Parts: sequence; C-alpha cells; structure tokens
Amino acid sequence: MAQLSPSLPVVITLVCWLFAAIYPFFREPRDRYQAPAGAVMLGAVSCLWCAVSTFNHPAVRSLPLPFCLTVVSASFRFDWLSAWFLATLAVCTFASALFTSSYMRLLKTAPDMRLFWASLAGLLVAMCGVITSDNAITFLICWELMAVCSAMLVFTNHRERATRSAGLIYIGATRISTLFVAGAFLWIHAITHSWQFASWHLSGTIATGPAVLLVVGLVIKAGCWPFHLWLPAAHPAAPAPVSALMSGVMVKTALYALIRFFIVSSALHSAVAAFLLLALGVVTAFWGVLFTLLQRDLKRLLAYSTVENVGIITVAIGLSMTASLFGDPYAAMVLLTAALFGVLSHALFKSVLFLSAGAVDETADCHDIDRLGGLGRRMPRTFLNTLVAAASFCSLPPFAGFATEWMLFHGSLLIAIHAVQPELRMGALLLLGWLSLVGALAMTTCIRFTGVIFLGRARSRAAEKAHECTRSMQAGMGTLSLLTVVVGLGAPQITTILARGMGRSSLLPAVWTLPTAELVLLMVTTTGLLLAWLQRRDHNQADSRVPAWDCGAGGLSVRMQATAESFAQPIARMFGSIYRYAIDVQFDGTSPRLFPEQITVETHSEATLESRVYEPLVRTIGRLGELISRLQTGSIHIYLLTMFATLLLLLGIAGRYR
Amino acid sequence: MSIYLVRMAIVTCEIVLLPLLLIGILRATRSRLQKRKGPRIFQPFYDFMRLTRKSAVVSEETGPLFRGAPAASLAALLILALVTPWSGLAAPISGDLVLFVFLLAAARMASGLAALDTGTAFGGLGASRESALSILVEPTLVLALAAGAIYEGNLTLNALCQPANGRGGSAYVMPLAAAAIWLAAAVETSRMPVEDPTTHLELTMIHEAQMLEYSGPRLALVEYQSALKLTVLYGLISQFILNEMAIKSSIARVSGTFGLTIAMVVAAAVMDVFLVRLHWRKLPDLLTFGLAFSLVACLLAALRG
Amino acid sequence: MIQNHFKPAGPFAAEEVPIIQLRARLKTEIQDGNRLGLLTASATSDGHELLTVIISPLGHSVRIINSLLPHDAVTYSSLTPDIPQAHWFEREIADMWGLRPIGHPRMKSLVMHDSFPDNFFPLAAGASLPTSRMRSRRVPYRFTVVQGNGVYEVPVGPVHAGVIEPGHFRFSCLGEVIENLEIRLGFVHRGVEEHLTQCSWQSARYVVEAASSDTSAGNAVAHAFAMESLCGVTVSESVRRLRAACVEIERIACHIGDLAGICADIGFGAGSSAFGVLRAAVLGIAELLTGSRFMTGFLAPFYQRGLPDAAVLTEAASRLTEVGLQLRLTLPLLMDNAGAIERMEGMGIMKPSLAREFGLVGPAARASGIDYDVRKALPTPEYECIEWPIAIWNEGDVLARARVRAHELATSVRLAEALLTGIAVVKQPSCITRLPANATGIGIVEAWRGELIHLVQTDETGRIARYKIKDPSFNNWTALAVSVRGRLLSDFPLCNKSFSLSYSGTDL
Repeated sequence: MAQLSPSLPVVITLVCWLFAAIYPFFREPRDRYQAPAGAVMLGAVSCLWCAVSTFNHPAVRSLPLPFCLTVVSASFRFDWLSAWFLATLAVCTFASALFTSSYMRLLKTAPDMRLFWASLAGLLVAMCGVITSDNAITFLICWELMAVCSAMLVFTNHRERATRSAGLIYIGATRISTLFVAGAFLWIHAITHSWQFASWHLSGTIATGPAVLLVVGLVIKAGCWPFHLWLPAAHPAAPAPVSALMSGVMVKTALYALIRFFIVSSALHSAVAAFLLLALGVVTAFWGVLFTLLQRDLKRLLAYSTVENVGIITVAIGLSMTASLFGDPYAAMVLLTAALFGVLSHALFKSVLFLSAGAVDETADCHDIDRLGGLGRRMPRTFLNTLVAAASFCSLPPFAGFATEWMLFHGSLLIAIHAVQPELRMGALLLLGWLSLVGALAMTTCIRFTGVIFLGRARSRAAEKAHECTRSMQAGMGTLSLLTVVVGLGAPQITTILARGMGRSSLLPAVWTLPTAELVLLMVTTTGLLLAWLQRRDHNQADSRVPAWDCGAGGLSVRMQATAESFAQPIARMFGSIYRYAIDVQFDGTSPRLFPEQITVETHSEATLESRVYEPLVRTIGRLGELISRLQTGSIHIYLLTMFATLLLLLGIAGRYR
Repeated sequence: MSIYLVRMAIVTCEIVLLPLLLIGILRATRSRLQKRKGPRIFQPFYDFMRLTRKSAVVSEETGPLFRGAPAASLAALLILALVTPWSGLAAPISGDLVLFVFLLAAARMASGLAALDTGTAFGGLGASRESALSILVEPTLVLALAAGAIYEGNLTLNALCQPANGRGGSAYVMPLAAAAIWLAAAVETSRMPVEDPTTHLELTMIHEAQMLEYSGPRLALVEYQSALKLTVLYGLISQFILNEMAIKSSIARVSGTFGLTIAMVVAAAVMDVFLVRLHWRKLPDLLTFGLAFSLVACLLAALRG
Repeated sequence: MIQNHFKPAGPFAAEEVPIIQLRARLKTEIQDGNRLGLLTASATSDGHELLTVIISPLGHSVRIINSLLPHDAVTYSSLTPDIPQAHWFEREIADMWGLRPIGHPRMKSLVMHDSFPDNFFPLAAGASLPTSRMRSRRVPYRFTVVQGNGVYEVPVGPVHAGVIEPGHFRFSCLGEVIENLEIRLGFVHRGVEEHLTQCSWQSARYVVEAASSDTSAGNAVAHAFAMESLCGVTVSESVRRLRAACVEIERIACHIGDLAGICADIGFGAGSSAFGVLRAAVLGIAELLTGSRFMTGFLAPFYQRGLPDAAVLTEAASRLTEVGLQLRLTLPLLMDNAGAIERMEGMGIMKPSLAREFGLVGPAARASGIDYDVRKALPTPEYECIEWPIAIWNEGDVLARARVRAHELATSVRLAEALLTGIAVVKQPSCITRLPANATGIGIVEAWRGELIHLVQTDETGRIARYKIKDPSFNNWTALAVSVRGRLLSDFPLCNKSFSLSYSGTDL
C-alpha cells in the first residue's frame, strides 16, 4: 500500500477530471456548471492528497504507465519538488473551481462550457504531467498539451476580436517556447543519449549551449522579460479563473522546470545559465512592476504584476544557483526555499487578485480601474480578500509574501556576509537594493490598485451598481486568502518540512530564524488592544458623521479624488524615459492661448519593447514572407523549380556530412 | 530572565514616554530658534490626552479600513520598536532588517489606503507622494541596515547594539550608513527639507496630507505613531554612531543613545527653522544622496571582509 | 525731472465714442501704449453707458471714454477678443449690471454666486436685495472640466486652513501637474459700491478704507484724489507728502509681510520670523504717524486733520532709517539664500507677453518686464523729492517678484524718509461743503499691489451716483491662474504668495 500511495490519489484525480471533461457533453447547457466544478474540486482535493502522501514518503517513485511511445515509455516521478508544485496546483484549482461555476454564469458572452471544462481538465492533467514527468518526451507531450489547452481557455470568449488576437499571440509564444525547449532536449540527448532526466548530468562548457536554450525556452513560458508580451495579452482575454490558474500555476511549471533541471536534479551545471537567470529576473521584476504602475485595465495590471513576481522568483532561482556554484549550500537552500515559497505565495495571492478582478469586472461590468471606486462598501468580503492578497503581494508580515521576501533578502544577505569573493558580496548587496526598490514599487501599485478600486467613492454608474458576488465565489477567494495567512504564519514549520524534503536538514541550520511565535503574539495583542481601545472610545463618545471636508466648496464631487493615473504620475515621471511617459495638453477655443475653453489632457506611454523591438521584427518577418510568397505564384513550373532546387541543396548537404 | 524583564521594562517605559517628549523638545527648540516663547516641553502629552478624550468627526464616506488603519499602523510601529535596539539595549524580541523594513512598509500601506478611503483629493495626493518617495527611501534603509549587518557580521538587528568585536576596517561604514538613515528618516518622519512639519498648506503636504481626515483618539494614535517612528529611527542612527565609537557598556550605551537622540532632535529643529523646503522634483535628488551613502557604505563593508 | 506733471485734480479729458466703435478705438489705444485702467458701466437717464478710463503712461495723462448703449439694450459686443485685459471687467459688468458682452470667450459669473436669483443685478436700476426665499436660481456655475483620462480635481477653499480671505481654487490635475486652475471669488461681496452711493460723502472715506483693509492708506489716498478731482481742488504739498509717505509705509509693511509669507511657504521659518519682526516695526511707525497700525481713519479728502508734529516726524524718519538698516541685514536671508533662490527660480512664470495682454499691474507686472508704475507714469511733484529707480525684472517668476519687492522696499524706505522730512505743519481746513453736480473724479494711486483706481460720479443733486473701485488684484488674479498652468500642485502656495492678491478688493 505504501508503494501505491501516490497512485491511488492519482487515479482518483484523473477520474475526477476526466469526468469533468466529459460530463458537460451529455447535459443541457444550464447543467454544465456545478457538477464539473465539483468534480474538478474533488480532483484537486485528491491531488493535494497525492502531494501530501508524496511528502510523507520522500522516497522517489516512478510510475510507469501501461502504454508505450515509439521511443520511450511515459514515466512519472513523484518527489518533494513535484509534491510542492502539485500542492500549489491543487489549492489553486480547488479555489478557482469553487469560483468558476457561478462566475461563468455571469459571463455575458455565454461561452460553450463543454469546451471550457474539457480544456480546463486537459490543462490540469497536462500541468500535473509536466510537474511529474520523468523524461523529456513525456515532458514535451505534456508541455504541448498544456499549451493547447490553455490556448483553448484563452479563446473562451472567442467572439471578441481582442480575445482572438490575444490567443494568437499566446499560441505564438508557446510555439517559440517549445522550439527552444525541444532544441535543448535534443541537444542534451545528443550528448547524453538518454531521454531520462535522471541520467542527465552535464557541467562545464558543454552544458552552456543546452542550458541557455532551455533557459530561454522556459522563461518564455514563465513570462520573463523580454518574452513577457503574451502575459498582458492573454490574461485580460481569458476568464478570471483561467487567468488565476494560468498566472498562479501554469506559469510556474516553467519555473518548476528551471528548479528541476538546474538545481534539484542537477541535470545542468552552468554558471552562464545562473547569471542569465539572475539578469533576466532582475530586469523582469523591475520592468513588470514599472508597467503595472501604468496599467488601467484590471487584468492587464495583474498580468504585468505576474511578470514582476515571476522576475523575483527567477532572481531567487538564479541566486540560489549562483550560491551553490560559489559553494554556499546554506544560502542556496534558503534561496531555493524562497523560490518555492514565492511560487506558492504568488499562486495564492495572485489567484485571489485575479478572482476578485473577475468578480469586480462582472458585477460592475467595468475593467477600467479609473471608472471604479468605492467597491469596498458594496463588496466587503471581496474587498477583505483582496486586501489580504494585496498585503501578501506587498510582502507585509504576517502573510505568505513576507515569508518569501524575507527568505530572499535573508539569502542575499547571507551571500553578502559569507561569500568569499568581494564582487559577489557587492553583487548580492546591489541585488538587495534592487529588490527593495522593486518591493517599494510593488507596494505603490498595490495601494493604487486596492485603493482606487475598493476605496473612496464610485467613479461611475457602473461602479455604483456593483454588488457582492455569490457565496461560492467568495468561498473560492476566501480559501486562498486564508491559506495566505496560514502559509505566512506556518513558514517556520513549512520550511522545516521543505528542508526535510530536500534532504538537507541534518547538515544545515534552519532556514527560518525569525521568532515567529513571539511576533505573532505581539501583533495580535497590540492590534487587538488598540482596536479594542478605539472601540471603547467610539462606544463612549459617538462620532459625528459628516461629509468629508470639502473646504467649504459645496460638496466633493466624484472627480475630486485621486485617480489611478494621477496616483502613478510622480513615479511614472521619474522612470519616464523607460516608457517615454509624457503628458500632452491641448487647449481649444477661440483664443486658446489666453482663454482656453476646452482643455484636453492625455498621458502617453509607450511599451518600448513592443514598439522598438517586436514591431520592427514582425514587420521584417512580414516583408520576408511577402518576398517568399512571390514564389507561390500558382505556376507549376516555379513549384517544380523550387522542389528541384531544394533537392539539390539537400543532396549537397548530405554529401558534405556523409 | 530578570535581565530580560528589566530590559523589557526600560524599553516599554521609553516607548511610552520618549516619543512625545522628543516632539516636545523639538517644538520648544524650534520656537526658541524663531524667538518665540513656544509651547511647554510636555505639551505633546497634554495634546495627546486631550485628543483621546475628544469625540471624533468622521467623514461619512470612510469605511472600517479608515477607522482601523491607525491601530494597524501603530501596531506595526510598536512591534518595530520592540524588535529594534533603538534604546541602546538589545531589543526584547530579536528581529532583522527585513522585518524592520516591511513593518515600516506595513504602516505606510495602512496609512496610504486609509488616505484613499477618505475619497478626498488631499488624501490621494498624500498617498501618491508618500509612495513616490518610498521607492527611494526603502532601498536606502535596506542598504544602510545591510551595511551595518555586514559590518557587524550578524543579520539580527540586535547585533547593532553590540559593537563589532575586533572587526576592524573601514571607519566610514557606520557613519555613512547613519547619514543614509538620517536622510531616509527625514522622509519617514516628515521633516525639513522634505516636508514642512508646521505648514497648514495642504497642497504642499506629503505625509500630513494623509492624516487630514483624522480627529479625536485616532489622531492621537497617528501623532503618537509619527513620534514613535522618529524616536526609533533616531535611536537606530545613534546605535550606528555608538558602534563606531566602540562603546560597549549598557549604561553608557543607553545614556549615549539618549544624548545622541536629543542632539538629533535639536538638529532636526535647527533644520526645520533654517532650511528651505526642497522643490518636489528635487526631492529624488536628495534621496539619491541617501541611496548613494548607503551604497558606498555597502561597498566599503563588502570589500572589507 | 519730468516737466509735465500729472495733475491728480484733473480735469480729465472726456469724450463720447459710439459703442460700436469702442472696441476698435480701445484696440488702437492699447497699440499706442496706453492702458485700459478701468471699464465699468453706469446708469444714464435712458439706459446705460460704458465708462472707460484710459491711462497714458507716456503722455502722463488720463482720459475717460463714455459709450452710450442704446436704450434698453442689455447686450453689447464684447471687447475682450481684442482687449484681453477687459475680460474680468466685462464679466463684472454682466454680474452687476446685467449687460452681457456678446462674444466673450469665457462668460461666467464673476462675483454672483448660485444662490442669487437669475435676474438679480445689484447695481442695475431698481434692483433690490432679495430678502425672502429666492425663487429662480441661476444656472449653476460650471467649472471648466478638463477632459482626459485620469484627470482629477483638487478643491481648495473658500475655507482655508490658515486665517486668510475666502476664495475657491479648483485645480484640475494629472498627478502633481496642474492642468488648469480656475479661481472663484465673490465670497465676501459686501455691496461696497452700492453702499458708497447711499452713505454721505463725508463718511465714504471710512467705507473705502475697508474695501481692502490691507490697502487702507492706498484706498484712502485714491479716494481723496478722486474726491478732490471731482471738486477740482488741490491740497497743500505737505498733505500730499504725508499721503505719499503713508502709502510708502504701507508698501514697506506689506512687502515685508509678503517676503515673510514667501519664507513661510518655502518652509523657511527663520526668514519668516525675521521678516515678521520687521513688519511689526513698520506697523509701529504707522501707528506713531497716524494713530493706527493700519493707518485707518486718518487720511481724508480735502483736508488733513492732526498733521503730525515735527518731533513725531523726526522720530518716524529715524525709525524708518533703522528699519532700512535692519532690512539691509535681513533681506539677504531670503534673497541671497541659495536654497530659497533655487526654490523660487523658474516657479510660476508669467511671460511678459501674456502679462502685457492681461494688463498686469504692480510688482507682478514689473517682475514680468512691464515698465509701469503709477508713481512714474502719472508723476506728481512729491515723488520727485529724490531720484529713485523703477524695479524691473524680465523673468516673471517668483524670484523676480520677490526681487522687485526687495528692491522696492529699499526705494520706499528712502522715499518715505525724504517725504517725511519735507512735511511742514500747516493747517488746511476743508473748504468743501457740497459736491458739484454731474461731475466725475478719478483717483489713481500706486498702492503696494499696484495701480489702484477710484472713480466717482455725482448726479444732478451732487450726491455720489456711482463709485467704482478697481483694486490692483482685479488685473492680476488671472495671472495667478495662468502662471501655475503646467506647474506642480505643491508650488501653488508659493506662486500664490508671490502674487499676494486681495480677495476683498475684488469682491466689492
């Protein structure tokens, strides 16, 4: 039984998700919501069970499936790393599914639920496959299935033009990603003659090529700069729970692969990859948060903030690799734990944020945050959940995000103190400064996001008619925000468990050194006492409730509160050169110079990467395509000539390398 | 255990008494420098008591967040005061610089959100300005504290009140880090040349603009919180200076800290009176100085070991 | 020495210009380098007329243009498109008289607030202050809505955090940047002009002193000039010197006060208190001379009761010298302070071209390169007791305005000293018992804020039929709004203080 323990939950999980995929095809449209959601949730619970049982039996298990591919059999491995990601997936899936059933009913586009559930189940299975696959072929198949299913989900609202173009961008990104990953795998196979991850052990200069290919392929999927373009396109197009899953889990599968290949299985030892990851992470985090600050679209904003978080986790991974390269296993472990915590905490709070964005978007029918406002009073529970998620996002104690940030900072500091090389120490310190800059920017985006949407007054009719979402939607968010707190408070225990999973507990001191229990006690007592004191004061002397002070101007109008655009303006200006931030003012009227009658203000910012790199690139490719299409005249002679030329070329190449 | 309790008692007393006393000294000094008679040194205590007794006038637009935020941010600051060795004694609870920075951030987030909850233009303005400055203040604090931590070879904040044992080397690390924190503290505690603490002009306020809607007991908490922040930050700077002077005995450290803190408060009063508030667009330049100080401190600390 | 002195006692050239030619005529006047001093309406036997005061700084003269409106016409073609400086005058006329300028680019109410009835025009014939519930409310005032995403409005006032006069500032901002500022005044409308036609002319001087209380000496002198020119009499040189000395002392006190305010607004506490101390010393001199720190109830038209005796004059002059010495020590605190200069430089720039078009006056105009000072443009002998320069800067920023003030302070101290030493104590009894009928009088003074004009007209019985006060702020308020456009919100208080405008002077 002990031997079978992962497989029973695996079977249950698969059965549940299969049921969710098939069931809607046999039911009326209105019955296609609850039962599949229930099945997905049940599958998620069993998936969590699988993860926990894997953790409890840390021995590595392979699970050969009874079917064969031409080259190699499909095999899966359940170890602590898979378990960690499986647990993340299970939790997010559970909450998203809880949220989905009533959310999808609200959608005005009325998508086809059969396709939705089938793709969702496919995506879940594929993600599990990626996380657990033990050889390259299985990995690639699951990787592709994941890409296809997630693209299908992005296409859910395919009647909208924006969705279709977003989906195409996404598919394009996944193609390029797979190209690089497959290339890397082929290269490694060419060196090691094996598809099994377990038998890959490359180091030195020979590892550099495949390592770089692999890093590029994976960070495209993860959404690192400069390949993050698909994220802000795909997330606003997909339904909220899908965005939550994609951002919370799917993007993490790429990070999983990075951790798996570069750290845990030590398949590739490459300093170049470590530095590349560090550099990409550093730029990604900054770029992501900078663009988050400018966004006005609810989900686009969250998509960019996902880019930032991915960047931070990538930094943790890269730094962990660097630390172990320079012979500091303790710092490496702390940073790896930080990366893993980052994966989990980001999955938790970003899912809440995406779900609450979905709830806001559907109940207020508006996703421009400058037209929202004051939703906290209309959707108090959603607001509370968002607040918890936002605090976690800002890495405030005692939430999960703080644990991540603490370990990341702690790891960098360890390197800064203990590393032998002064340049490494200095590098770690610079990184520390950089991370705190990103952290402060992230907090600004968070205050802006939460404050503008949920606080103050409604800025439009749409925001006025918003209402609290259904119980199940609240429960979906609530589960995750509760877990955010639990993970944050349980960080000492969880790090211990993780360290045990890594099998390094005996050698090294504990990762977590903060006196959490005292701090929590202190936090609870001080906040409690202060609140109680305020409560008593309020009870004794009734407050006078008056309109907010308007300086006697005759009442504050809705326009008299800070907007998202205005909130970000000082910082946007500071970093304006990066995205060519400018404010254009136009005066109109009979004598605009002296007596402007109409004043129009527009802020301009440019996604410089898109406009300066990708657009010219796409244009060039298009032009090349046109050139090539001249061959396609429809004339059989030209075709024959082309075929003949190709044949000659191939023969020539074959002759050369014979 | 008894030493721990004594330490806890001293720190608690200082937390209760020192912040408002320092504010009193600051205001009295400022008045004297302007040749005014000025309030008594203990006036902030009377003000605090008066505010706690008053009933509040609260905007209808605000919700529970606005009402709870002062408690939350003060709680964060109190924890900060209990994990930081700002009094010259080891803090009762051992914390580190990450906790320090994120507790400050927590207080900032609570007040920023509360300001947005008022739905007034000034609140949003204040929150926006505070956030914009925080992106330079936070790295400065992190790097300065990191420089201190590396200099002492220990990551806990408590190491800061025990001078480095025989770790010789660059004598500039601690003074530079102290200067960096001093500049960051000018923003955090809204002092000149960042913000005019005496101004009534809402349009020029940064931190104060977020507090405009508070009254009564909540205003008392908010004011006490700013005073506590000032006390903790100045006490922390004192630790950097005392470490540089290699002062070890507890009594000398406590009294030295007290003296240095008072000196810094007087210096702050002098700056309040004699400095000109910087233009908003020049503030990043000033804060970049702080960042540069802390970077150089880091560089020196990193090169040393 | 200027040969042809301006004669404050008149008589002033008056001419009739048909209303249809007024716009073209004023355009040529402005092109010739003349100023539109004042534009207002007045009731005639059958309808209204527009009254224009043209000041010719080059010709050192003042002229009046009357333009009769057709019988029961309530509209006329707006002058503003060609003469931008007429825009507030026309809005005021529309509010007070119900005469609407057609084609005005920004026709909104200036002083009348929404709670007044739609068709209530306080100065129009037969208007009575509505007492009971006001039925037909006027169309609510609409602030300019700046279009564009993310623009928000910051309302400041009319109740301010400091003890200052009421005025509402509506900033439309994008973040920190002010995209538009709209200023709404009229919160302290007291009906001064109406009241001046009802009270006796002997008590009018107390009323005009309160029109803008920080300019009580300026208003008293302008009133005296206006009344004297109405009657065609002149007072002795001693009295004229005393009046000029009072105006200069008021200028010294207020300029010092403004510099103190600038210090306070840049958070420079030391400077603020140092200037505050000095200002109190100057107010002490004013008290010594006139018995009132703000020089109220002292200066009167036609005569001067209680001319200070020689000892007082000597004492005042020596105290002034002392103030001058102190100033020389104190001014560098602000004017040579690198931080302060950096803070003021380039702030709130009013371009000279715009300043000219909007017809700015006073230190604000001189800081924008406009060479206009009533003391020089309409020269009187008492101001030629010493040689003094006119302070001109071209930058138009806060620093330039501060420098103009600092410079004028030194000049005014010297002037006041010289003026005080030349006063002979000769009693001059009042010889006027009644005012002439159907006469017009104008008094123009360079008060500390700039050109201050009083215009008085009597009816056929010799009663004051029309009294118009044009405070210098009336010209300059627009400049404040224009100069902060595109600037930062946190700079506004400083810009505001550097213009230092009067609310009550405009809210008559």
